[in-house]
Amino acid sequence: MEATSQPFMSQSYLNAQETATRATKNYLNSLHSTRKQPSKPLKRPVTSSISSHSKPMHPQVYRVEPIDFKELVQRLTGAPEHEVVAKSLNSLDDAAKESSSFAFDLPSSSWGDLSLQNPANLSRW
Amino acid sequence: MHGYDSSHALNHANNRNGLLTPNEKAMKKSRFAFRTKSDKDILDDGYRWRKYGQKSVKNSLYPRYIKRSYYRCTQHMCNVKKQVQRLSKERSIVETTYEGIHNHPCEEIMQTLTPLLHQMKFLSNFTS
Repeated sequence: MEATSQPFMSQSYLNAQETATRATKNYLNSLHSTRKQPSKPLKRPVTSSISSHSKPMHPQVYRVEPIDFKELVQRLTGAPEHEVVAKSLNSLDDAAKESSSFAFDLPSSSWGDLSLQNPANLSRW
Repeated sequence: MHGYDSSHALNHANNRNGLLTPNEKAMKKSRFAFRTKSDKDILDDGYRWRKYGQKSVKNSLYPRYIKRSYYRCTQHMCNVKKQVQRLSKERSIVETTYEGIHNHPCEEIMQTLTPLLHQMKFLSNFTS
C-alpha cells in the first residue's frame, strides 16, 4: 500500500495494520479449519492376570422355556452336586461314628438315600 | 455347610496383586444369561434372593429406559448375584443374568435337611 494514497497514515502504521489483519486472518482460518489432534499413545492390550479384575466378559446366553428354567439354572449355577451335601452329611456321620453310645445307628450306607443322585426328581418339588 | 469362604478369598485376591486361585477364577468367570418368555419378572430358580439395587438402563427403543434389578443370594457366605431386566427389543422376554456358583444346596434341599442336620448336631453333643 502506498503511503501517498492515504496521506494521514504513516508506513509503520500501515505495516502494523497489515500484520494485524494477517494475524486476524490466520486466526479466523484456524477457527474454521480442523487440525489433527496429536495421537494418544496406543494402550497395550491388557494380558496380565490383573485384567481379571476388569469388567467380566459377556455371559453365555440361553433361551429357555419357563418350565425348564429352574433345572437349567440349578445345573449351571448350583453347587457341585455330590460334593457339598455329601461333605456336610459325612462330617456329621464321622461325629456319630466316634461314639458308640450314640443312640442312632448311622452306618455310612444310609446316607446314600440323601445324596443327590436324581436331580431331575428334585425339581418337581 | 461348605467350608469354602468365597467372599473372603476374593478379598484376599486384592492383596495378592489381583492373582486369583483357580476356584476364584471360576467364580468370576461363571456368568450365565437366561432369556425366558414370562409375564413375571421374578422366576423361581430354587434359591432365595434379596434385592440390593435398581437402575434405569438407557434404551435406544421405546420405552426410553428399562428397569434393571440387582439381587444377591440370601445364603450366608454365598456370593451369587443376579440381574433381572426385560429385553428392549422384545418386552415379553425376561433376561436373568447369574454371576457365580452357589456353595450350598438349593432351597428345597436346605429346607428338608436343615431340621435333620440340627437334630444330628444336637445329638452329637452328647457323644463328646
